[in-house]
Amino acid sequence: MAINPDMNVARAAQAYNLAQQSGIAPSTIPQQDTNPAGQGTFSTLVSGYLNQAQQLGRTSEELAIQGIQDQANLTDVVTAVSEAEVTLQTVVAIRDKVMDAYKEILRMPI
Amino acid sequence: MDDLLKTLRISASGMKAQGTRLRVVSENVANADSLPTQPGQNPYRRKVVTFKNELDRAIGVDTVRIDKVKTDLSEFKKKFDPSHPAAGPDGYVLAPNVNSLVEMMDMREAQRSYEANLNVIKSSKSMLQQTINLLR
Repeated sequence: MAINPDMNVARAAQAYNLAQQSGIAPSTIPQQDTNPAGQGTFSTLVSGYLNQAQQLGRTSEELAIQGIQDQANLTDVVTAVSEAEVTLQTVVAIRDKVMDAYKEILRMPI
Repeated sequence: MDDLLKTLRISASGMKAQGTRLRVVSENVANADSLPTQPGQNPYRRKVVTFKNELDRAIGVDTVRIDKVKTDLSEFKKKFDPSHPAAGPDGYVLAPNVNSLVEMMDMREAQRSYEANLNVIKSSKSMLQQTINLLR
């Protein structure tokens, strides 16, 4: 994936700061500009999606087990699994995007 | 909840309803020759399904469900078969009020309706996935 460095450094720095505030990344770099309005937005987003994905995954697993035991409708099982799949794909895509931003920061010449 | 995810649930309810309809059709077809065993008894009576919309309060949309599986109260057919144990004094046996042509049409309708719901699911799922792929 080709990333224009000039475009993304600012964004990556912002994401890095946000991640530091939420305690995801170790705070090795002293924080420079704190953005009170956006505090915790990224972590809230990720944890919200993760919770949803977790819940849907659990529901789909329960239904799949019921389906194997011949207690649940096949359509219900398929729907639940699709929902879980789509939500997980969203979470993974967002995580990949953020990891790209971190890598961009790490590659930055100092 | 995302609208496209709601679509999955609504279409799934449609598919479930059509599945039940097809089950009833298969009961009718399978029992098309189920005659009574004694004079005065009734043979198999054809069943019909009715659908009803139902508000799913959790997601705030109208889904479909099977309302009732009723019996078709039309008149039984009569078959002349004096040797049958259930034949009346006139030699006629009551036969189920199942018309296989009608059942075939009903089956086709259920099949097409199921496919329509399946296509809605397919397209909404591909829309969701294409949107997620924008991030990649």
